Amino acid sequence: MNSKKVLSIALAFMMTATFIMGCGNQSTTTTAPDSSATDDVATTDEAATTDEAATTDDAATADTSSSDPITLTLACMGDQADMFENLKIADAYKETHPNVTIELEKFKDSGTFEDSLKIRASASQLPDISTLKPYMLTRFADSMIDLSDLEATASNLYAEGYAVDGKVVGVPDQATREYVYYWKDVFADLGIEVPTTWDEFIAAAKTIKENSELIPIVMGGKDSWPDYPFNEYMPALEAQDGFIWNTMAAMDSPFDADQPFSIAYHKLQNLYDAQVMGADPLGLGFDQAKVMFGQQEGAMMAAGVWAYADIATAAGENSSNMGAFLLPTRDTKDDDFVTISQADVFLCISENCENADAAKEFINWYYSDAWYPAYIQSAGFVPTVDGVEGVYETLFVEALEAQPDAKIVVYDGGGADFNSIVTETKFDVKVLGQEMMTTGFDLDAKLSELNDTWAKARASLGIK
Amino acid sequence: MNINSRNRNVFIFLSLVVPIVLFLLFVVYPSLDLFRMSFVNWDGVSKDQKFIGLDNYKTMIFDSPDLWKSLCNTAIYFFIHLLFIPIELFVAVLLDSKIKGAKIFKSISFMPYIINGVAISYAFSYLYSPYGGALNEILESIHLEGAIQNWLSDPKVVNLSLASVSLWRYCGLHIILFLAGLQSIPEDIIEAATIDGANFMNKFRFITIPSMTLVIDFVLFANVRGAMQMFDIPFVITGGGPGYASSTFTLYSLKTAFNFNNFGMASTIGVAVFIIIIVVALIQNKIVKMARGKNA
Repeated sequence: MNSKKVLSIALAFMMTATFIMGCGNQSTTTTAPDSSATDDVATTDEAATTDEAATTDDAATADTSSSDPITLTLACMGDQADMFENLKIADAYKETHPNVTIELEKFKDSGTFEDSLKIRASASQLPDISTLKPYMLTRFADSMIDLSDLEATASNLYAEGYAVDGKVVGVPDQATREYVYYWKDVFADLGIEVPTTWDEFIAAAKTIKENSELIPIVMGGKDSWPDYPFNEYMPALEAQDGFIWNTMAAMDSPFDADQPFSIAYHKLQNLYDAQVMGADPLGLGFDQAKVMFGQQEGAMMAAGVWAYADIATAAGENSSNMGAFLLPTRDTKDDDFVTISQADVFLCISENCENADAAKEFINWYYSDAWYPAYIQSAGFVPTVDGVEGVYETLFVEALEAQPDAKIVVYDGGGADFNSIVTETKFDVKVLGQEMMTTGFDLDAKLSELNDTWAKARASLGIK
Repeated sequence: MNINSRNRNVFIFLSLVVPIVLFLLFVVYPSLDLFRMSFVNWDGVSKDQKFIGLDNYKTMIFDSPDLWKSLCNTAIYFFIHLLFIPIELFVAVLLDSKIKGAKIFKSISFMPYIINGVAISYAFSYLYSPYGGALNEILESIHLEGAIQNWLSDPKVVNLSLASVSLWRYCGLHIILFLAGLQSIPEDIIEAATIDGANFMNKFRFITIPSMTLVIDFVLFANVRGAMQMFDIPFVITGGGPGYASSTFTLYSLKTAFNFNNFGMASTIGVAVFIIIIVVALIQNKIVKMARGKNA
């Protein structure tokens, strides 16, 4: 009996201790398996120090003389959160602003992040500072303050271009690039040159399929979002119009055969019909696909700079054998080579922030010489601040040098009208990509159906 | 009213006030708000919620082919579980008998239910993987390569794959519930039937089943409720894909709310789930009563 009592007390103590430890955890990480569009940037292996950065703070406004302790929550997702932690952003800011504590709120990925923000926005409990993706700007514009007057906005190359109805909702800290990662030795062994047109790209994939056991293009199709370099960006690349979604929102039949969306998607259907993504691309998730590519079970993988760190980790010592090229979507070598870029990781301040001036001060500091150059160079991203030079991994430099005349299409995630039509029609290009990968998919029938639902939605929403 | 009676009433009131307040706050109020939101157009973020009457209901019934597809997928879970209920009952009867190792089998059968659903879903997603997945490896090792399918990407097969995971997870719970029901049947009735010459099937049909009507009712209700609320398995394993091939009713409503920012429509789907559960449960109840009346 005594031993049973002792055991019960010990178990109760352990449960209580676990409960207290769990509740006492400061930084929150929300986990979810699903991640949506244009997913996030990754950490780099280079450790960056902010010691070498200048300590001069060239922020314009804000109450730096106040000694009242202030806590600002900075919500960020995925590897961005890890990067901020590794670079000790909170400590760096405290050096010049000892009364301000930066508290990181971490979210696993953009899907979880957006869902949480929606719930918190309805309760007016958004984090003080959030790092939004470009497609979230329209959605959360009413919940964020206008940052037009910030010094950080004035020195940013992209901020005003992404304003929503004249309001600068957020200031982006990087511009993305999309690449196709590939194994140089596989290409060399099979005598494949880096493709520079769409047909060459499909032909390269077919050559790999016919002459090796490798999956030519690894695609984590089970998670719908990994097809975004194709299904989300190709219409914009075909039209050479980063605002294509807004253009389509103003049309009744944007899916007609002569429109860029249909042209791009027919090209894309040729790729899917070639079955160069393995026997079952929809059976693999992105995490598994990434590891398979890293272990050279696949020859190519389309993803952004954000994926490099994870892929390189999976590749280990073999990562030096990895190359990258810009996804070629043009028909012939005489056409312009176009590549997508979009501003990303927009720092925004919520309307319910109680220390808006302090938050503005933080954003000005973030983009100042005190933090930004060292951060962006250690991360290897394309800078968005005028006058700051980027430092890139060799494979990306090679990819850019291979196409020095590439035209950059700056991508916009879609404005209010487009988002309203999406809500009404449940238009999801990434899910459409999954459907295109299934056998017997009728693209023309789907495009015709989309025209009908699009026109109906425009009529019911009164969009001109 | 004497002092004992008053003290008892005070005690009852104090004991019930907290659960009732919580019930009102976290069940009744959200349910009423859900019903209210089904009549508005709201993106979940803006401050305004525009009243649109029955538009959401009309769109749901007449203009949502993917929603009906999701309902069909949900029905697959319901019917597969329904088919297995007699088997679960039979297994429970076996485990209730004095066979060797019955206790161990009871624990093993209940184990899948107590494991975290997300963990199970992740494990099965690797089991079904086309590259290095355990299922395909097993089939290859026993020379059944012809049986290998695209378990998670073939729209004809994916729902059966996911429903199998659900069966694996919830069978044990039903077996335990049936066991509890079996153990509530008085021994002397069984003994009397045995003495009167009743065989196993007679005892099962005329004593066991009628005595377990309440438990069977509950399991049938749990089946329809579980099927209509099936979310974690398709969400983790396939995300409802490819396309909407494995989307369920609840998963579709979640996507409607959070991916397409249409909380009004999502609330409408929530109300529909509620109504469907009640209607199906009532029909099942009626059928069970009719069957009981026939056997009486």
